[in-house]
Amino acid sequence: MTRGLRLYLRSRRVPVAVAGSAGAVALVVAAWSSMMDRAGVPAGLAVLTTAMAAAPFGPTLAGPDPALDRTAALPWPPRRAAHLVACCIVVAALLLAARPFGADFGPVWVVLRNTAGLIGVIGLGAAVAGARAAWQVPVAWAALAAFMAAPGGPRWRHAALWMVQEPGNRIATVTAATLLVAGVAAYAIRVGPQVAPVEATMDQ
Amino acid sequence: MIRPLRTELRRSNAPAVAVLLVVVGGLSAASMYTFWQGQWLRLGYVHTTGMFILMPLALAGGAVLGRRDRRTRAEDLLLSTGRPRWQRALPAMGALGIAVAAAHLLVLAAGAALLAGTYLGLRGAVAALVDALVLVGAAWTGMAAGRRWSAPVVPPLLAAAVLVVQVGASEIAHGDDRLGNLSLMISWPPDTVWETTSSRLLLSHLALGAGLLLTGVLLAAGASVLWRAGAFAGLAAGVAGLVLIANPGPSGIWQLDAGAYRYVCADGTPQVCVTAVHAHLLPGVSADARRALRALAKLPGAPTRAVELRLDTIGENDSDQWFRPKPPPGTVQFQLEVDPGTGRDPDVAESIVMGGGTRWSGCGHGSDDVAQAVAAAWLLDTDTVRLWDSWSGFDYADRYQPEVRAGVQALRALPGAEQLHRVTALRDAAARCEQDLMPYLTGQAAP
Repeated sequence: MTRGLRLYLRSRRVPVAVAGSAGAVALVVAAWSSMMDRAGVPAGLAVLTTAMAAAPFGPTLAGPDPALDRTAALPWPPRRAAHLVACCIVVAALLLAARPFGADFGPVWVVLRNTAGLIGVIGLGAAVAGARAAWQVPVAWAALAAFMAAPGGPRWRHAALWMVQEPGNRIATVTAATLLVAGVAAYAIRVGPQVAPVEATMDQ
Repeated sequence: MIRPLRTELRRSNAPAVAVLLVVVGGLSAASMYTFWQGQWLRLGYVHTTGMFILMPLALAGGAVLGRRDRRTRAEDLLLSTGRPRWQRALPAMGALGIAVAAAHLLVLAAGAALLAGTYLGLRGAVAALVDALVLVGAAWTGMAAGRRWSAPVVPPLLAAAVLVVQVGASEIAHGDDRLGNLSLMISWPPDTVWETTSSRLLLSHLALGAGLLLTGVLLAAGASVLWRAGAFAGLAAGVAGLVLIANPGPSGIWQLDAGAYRYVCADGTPQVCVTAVHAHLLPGVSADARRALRALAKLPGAPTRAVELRLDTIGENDSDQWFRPKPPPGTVQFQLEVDPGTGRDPDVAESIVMGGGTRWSGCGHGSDDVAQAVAAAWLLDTDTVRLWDSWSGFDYADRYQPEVRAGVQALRALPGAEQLHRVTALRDAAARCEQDLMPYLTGQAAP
């Protein structure tokens, strides 16, 4: 690992986010496998666990001082896109790694779809409202999906509740892919709203 | 005190949290609109079950605000002033508390506005007030958590973890396991429109709210071990109250609302009464019911009063339960099922005259729907009748339309006195809870 990458990850507090995400998933897996006979986690709980694993990565999308970042003569957009995609891979890996430990969060395709879509929403949230608030929409959306965790219905419902649809549902897949692409593009291009330098120093 | 509060209301994240709660609460209520359309107590269920999402969001919103104290790095400066800790925390706590409570009550008020003109009993609003207290407590506890752990991952992790714990607990809990009480999502919707959240459930939510409030206040007031121990004891007591006070299952969650359950009668005669939750439908229902009573008056000993069928216990999600209550003498019962598309019951008169007024005579669900429908069509002077139900619409009744039409034609081909005799015989047999009624219409029944 290069020194620059290490410093980047530290400045974004990625280790804390990974620890928080992995710890939370581990707790769910431990509780589920110890109390239940079956490995299959219901769709609603699986979606919420995905949101819980993804949400800690929201705050990693901004450093302590955006103005300081801008002074670095680096091509930031591809780096930011790579950051978001890496978050997606880490979250999906955490969820898929739970299988041998007695908690199955769904078919691989569904885990990838849900992770990708939620990370995309986090990216969109970071670009629009800032990294600190990026978790709100995906967590609330996942909670609403878990609340109404019934697949099927009219097409708009497939798109609105894409997280709880069956594995082969095309509308859900397209929705998740669109959210990921939009999130990566928006975050890569815009980063987030401008933060006043005085507030940036407070936001430690 | 008012000025710092107003400043916090403008400058803190309180407005953003309020908007988030209004949007999420509004979406969850809107998604179930057809379920609570025209029914205040059902809106109460939708509103209170949404707490499953709102409470974690309020908790996280509090954590975001709590982090602010640490982020400013002005703790030493503020501690050097001669004011107690709680006085410094009060404006921010007050602002967030007002925001979350107002957001929750605003969604209820919007729902109530949509229900204007229907039954709006105060008992149905009690749950919302208790839930507002839970939200304030959650926001204040979140503030304490944010002050203690200022890492940016704390708010999202708190929100998601509390959601996961709730859903996980309800998945893991089996049957009457009290562990399921940890979830604020109510898994059993009310079966009838007169059911409101039970006093025990309200008390359990009140215990949670009080525990969360105590935790938030104690952690704002002091940071010593004693204060913290008291706060954690308060939190533990609140969660224990939530788990232990409420009884799991529909009978623990719901109780009859006396105000919603009472009869409201239309002016004039014959008397037609519906329960208070359906009072807004009374003009249309009374016209249909009186038409049915006039039709029934062709038979000797006909009822002179029609009342809406109601259960004297909470519903059991069993369609047969509606066929068990016996009507008082001289009274015919009818079930009101409202079509969400039109906002009215499409078959009041038809269902009253089914079997000569014996469809809901306490004999259970009769198996001979065709014979009952033939008698109803004869009484109403129509070719047939179509009954509507909320599950299948007119589909079930339409299956036996040809048989009903044929039966009515055959009956009308008889002399007038014989027609009356046979329909009266069918009515009397149905009132005796006999199941095979067609022979009374065809004249094949044993005398």
